[in-house]
Amino acid sequence: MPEFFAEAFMIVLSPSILGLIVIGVLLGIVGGSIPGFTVTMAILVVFPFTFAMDPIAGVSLMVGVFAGGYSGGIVSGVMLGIPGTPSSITTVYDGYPMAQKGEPGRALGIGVLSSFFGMVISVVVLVTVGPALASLSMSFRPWELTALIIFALTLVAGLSGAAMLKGLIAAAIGLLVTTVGFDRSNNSRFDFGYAPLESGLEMLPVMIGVFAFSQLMENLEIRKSGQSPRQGVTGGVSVPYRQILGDMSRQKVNVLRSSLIGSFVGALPGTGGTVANFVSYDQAKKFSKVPHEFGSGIPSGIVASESSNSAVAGGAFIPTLALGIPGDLPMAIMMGVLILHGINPGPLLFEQNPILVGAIYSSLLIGAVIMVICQLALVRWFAKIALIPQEILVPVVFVLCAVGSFALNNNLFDVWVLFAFGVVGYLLFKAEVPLTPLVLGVVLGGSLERQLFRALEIDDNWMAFLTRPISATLLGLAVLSVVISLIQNRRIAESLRSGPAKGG
Amino acid sequence: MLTRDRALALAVLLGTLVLAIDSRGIPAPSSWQTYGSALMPQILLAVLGVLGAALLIKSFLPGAVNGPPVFPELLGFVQRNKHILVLFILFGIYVFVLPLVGYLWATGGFLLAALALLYVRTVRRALAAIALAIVVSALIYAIFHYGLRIRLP
Repeated sequence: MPEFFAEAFMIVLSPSILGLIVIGVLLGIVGGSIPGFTVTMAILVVFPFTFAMDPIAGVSLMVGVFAGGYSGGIVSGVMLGIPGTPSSITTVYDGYPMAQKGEPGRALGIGVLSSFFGMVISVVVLVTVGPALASLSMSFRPWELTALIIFALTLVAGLSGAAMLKGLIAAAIGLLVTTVGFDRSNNSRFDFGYAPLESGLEMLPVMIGVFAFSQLMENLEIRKSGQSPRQGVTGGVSVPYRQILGDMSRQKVNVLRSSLIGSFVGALPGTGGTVANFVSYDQAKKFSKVPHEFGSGIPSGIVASESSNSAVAGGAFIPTLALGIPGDLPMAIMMGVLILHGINPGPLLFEQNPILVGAIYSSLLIGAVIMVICQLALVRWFAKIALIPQEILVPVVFVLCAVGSFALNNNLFDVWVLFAFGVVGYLLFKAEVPLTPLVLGVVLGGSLERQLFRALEIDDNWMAFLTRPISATLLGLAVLSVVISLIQNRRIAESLRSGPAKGG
Repeated sequence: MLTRDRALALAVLLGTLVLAIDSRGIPAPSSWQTYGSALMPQILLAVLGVLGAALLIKSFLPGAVNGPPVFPELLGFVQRNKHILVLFILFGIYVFVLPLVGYLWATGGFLLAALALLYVRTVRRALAAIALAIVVSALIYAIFHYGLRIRLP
């Protein structure tokens, strides 16, 4: 593996790939810094541009977007008091107050360096844990893989924050979408006599439609409702490098702890940067000697948030590459990129495509370096970009989504699919159905059916799923995650009902 | 009273029923197959049916948080967010005319219409919208057609 890593590193250092990573980082920072746009949207918008590229180039571009996107949220968080991405919410708690005290450059510098260290540490975790997990999962047979996918979907449904039932409904809808069209036996399903449906529904237009339309329309609703942003921090941004280095030298433990939290939270399906930054902020406060100062504009709060949310980038790759189970929504799209280029993520990836795996590691590391340089050099411009009105952004992104969907197969039907699922996604969103399980269902549906049938072809006894220890454990965990979520939802509902009386 | 959750549950059950009926047309397994093409869809439809029914039942339980009644909320939403509905319609028209008039005209027209709906309030903004529509359409075309060598309609 080390020799492949060295070869991959040299490929990634070539001018063309390096250029793509720079472009990806810049686009990611721009996407992450515009409130409401999110790193996921940035990835969706950039995805179609990878169609004409070879796998390493396409993946490097996308990894650049990750690296930039996860750190981009700090710009509007510090300058406007609005998190650019959900994973930067806790960055605002201390970043914005620090900026208001006249130290926006210090806040941005701390955040950017924290993001850098978070990403580097997560790559170390990825390099260590990824191959080990892949080796372990080589012993997984179709029963275990089926159970693993089911567990991942129930976990995602339960962690979506909405009612468990709705999360499971979303996951089931996503899986059902993948059954449309010809199956492995060349029988067409759910085509309703309409020929274009026989080819099935492409993953990309479904994902973009479901996610992008709901996100963008919500942004427009918020604008229309008159919710105005906070008073932005005006004036120049100078970065006090010496002070920042001093700040960071006192945050070594915080950086390491928060980065590890981000890496491991990122590795859990359905969690991602949002969960990571809350968990690490909470832990940083608990371990701090001055917990009462959190929220007043102290470096510890910014470090905890930004280290962890950037560490998610590497962590989320662990289950994606090793198991073929995406760690979060952006990673689900990354899987789409790989599948589009004929590469199947999973344990065999490390054996069959070691150079691609090495390229991902290298791109993450190089992306982290480029991210720091771009952020520190161009932070003033990113702060201006964060002010682009949604009214301009939304139509432009719609066009990019339509073009991207068309470019997939030069087929207009895919654009209609985009539109149809845009409507469906928006309606589900208004019904408070979480969309992440749906997208994951779309990504994993094909694998689930394949593994299920393989298991049944080998042994048509359904009890084998329960008699094989790993499979039974994973299915048990799936049931447990459903039960725990139902209990938690009930507790939350009860506390909401009794809350006003107790709080009074 | 038709609340949001009940409407969702009914929509899920209706969709499940329609697909379940259609799935009866999926060919049965051949002689060498134990399970056929209908297995996965029927499992998923059964799961979806159970979940939809559970959601419907849950919505009638005492203390259930169902969301607001659908129709008054829908009317209120339409009144507050006409621009969103119009934007959906505009996008549908855009997709329809895309093969008829080609990418450049369709995209320029859609951008102009959408910006007029959402952004244009002054003459200056109108001019900016025209410029944006032209530049963005041309830029995307150039990138895909010349850069990525992907033909657009």
